[in-house]
Amino acid sequence: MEKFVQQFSTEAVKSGATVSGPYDLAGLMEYLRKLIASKKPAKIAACRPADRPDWLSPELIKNLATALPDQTISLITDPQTAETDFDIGITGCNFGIAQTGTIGLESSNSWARKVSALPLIHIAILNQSKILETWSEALELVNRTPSNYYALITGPSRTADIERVLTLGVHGPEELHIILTNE
Amino acid sequence: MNKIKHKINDSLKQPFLRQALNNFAANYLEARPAALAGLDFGEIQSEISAIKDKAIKNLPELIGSFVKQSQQAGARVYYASTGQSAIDYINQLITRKNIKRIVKSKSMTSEEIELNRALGKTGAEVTETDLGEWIIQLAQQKPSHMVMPAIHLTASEVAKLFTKVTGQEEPSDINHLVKIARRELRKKFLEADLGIIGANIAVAENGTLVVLTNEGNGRLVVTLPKTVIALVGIEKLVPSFKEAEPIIKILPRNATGQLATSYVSFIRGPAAHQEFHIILLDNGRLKLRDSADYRTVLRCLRCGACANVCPVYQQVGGHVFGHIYSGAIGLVLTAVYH
Repeated sequence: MEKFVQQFSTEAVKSGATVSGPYDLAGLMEYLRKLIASKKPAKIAACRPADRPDWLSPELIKNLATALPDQTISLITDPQTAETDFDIGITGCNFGIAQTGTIGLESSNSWARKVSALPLIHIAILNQSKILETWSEALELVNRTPSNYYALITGPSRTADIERVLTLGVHGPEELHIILTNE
Repeated sequence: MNKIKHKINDSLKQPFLRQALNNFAANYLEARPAALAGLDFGEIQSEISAIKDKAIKNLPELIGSFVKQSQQAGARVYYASTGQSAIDYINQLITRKNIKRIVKSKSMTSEEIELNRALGKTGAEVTETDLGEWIIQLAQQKPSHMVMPAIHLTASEVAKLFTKVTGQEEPSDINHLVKIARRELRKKFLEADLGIIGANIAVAENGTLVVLTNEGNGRLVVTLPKTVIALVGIEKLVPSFKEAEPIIKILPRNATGQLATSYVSFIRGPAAHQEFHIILLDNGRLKLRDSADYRTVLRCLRCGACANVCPVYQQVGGHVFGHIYSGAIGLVLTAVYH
């Protein structure tokens, strides 16, 4: 598993993402607090990971905001919200792929898609034990999961449509931060 | 001089076009082998050919299975034998649902049937959201490359087009131009009541559409509007999910020298509160299947690599070397579809 984690991190960074951790829950919250503080967002949206709903619970996210007393941050965790304008989106991940540093996000609930696709910054929390080695394994997993929308994400949103110059964040996130956890 | 000679002469007088195409071609010759390192391209190519040949042979059965499976997943499926019948179906939907604003993500199949021109007549506003497609829509041109539709335009030409959109002088800094596109197109996404997408692969056994994109506009097009249409050529069908894998592997590597596109989406049916239509487009494909000489054309994945390595294409670009489909494969596809 160590090998996959190393390969995943190397490839994800090559694709333009950042990778940090692995952290336990306390370490994760501390890292999140620092990352969010450095971005000074007005609005954060969060989508609770299906496997660990305790991680991005509204209470925890609220604690995060109160830990940043000098910033006014509004938190959006209700999937039914009509809000579409947020600076940071936080989601879990269903798996990672070491081969290309890709993350998998089951997104049948369109809230998961909005949180990961609309903001300029996407923070994705990935349990390192869920890193698979190859696309073959990942596609098998996708195939056997009942889902109306499964997204595989490799790095930030990119375009080279003007003069072939690579530019990030054209429609989706300009920054993808992957945080590994070990519990 | 005849018309084609005029067009060739005109394009040869555009130094930027040639420079852009040559730069990309030189870069492609390094990026593609790097992306294919450790893989046996010939082997994967043979594997995909065999999958596609099997799919082409059993196309009527695959269509039947795909229709059944995607309907089970909640999609409404329409089989369009011609481009016009696809257009009619979309027009009826627009009228029935009183649709005013449409966002599209990049689809060569929609270019093939000249969908935008037809949609314009309905009075609904249509916006292309892939950056390159939006640029050529503003310039009122056709794509000059299957994967990089606006490769023939300079940043300062793009700045002039964007100036018309925003009503203020826009500098030709590329980062700035991309930010304008994000801001202007985001409004369109949020207002749209219909989204139209294409697909790279359609899986017959379970009704899944696979969509590969880099910008992330495709994700917004299928997520934000209440009604979504996927326009899919029937040659995109493969029998099983497993058989989509080599295509997902090779398409980004061969098209742009990337290991994976930023986003690979697997779509099967609508999200809650959404209406999802799939139009399977024939438009001459079933007939092509009967031709022993030309049926292999249906294997084409639309990666655009044949243009990337073509010396003639590099001199004149896709507006001369092609009609809607450009490059070497475009010669054949144009004869078949147009």
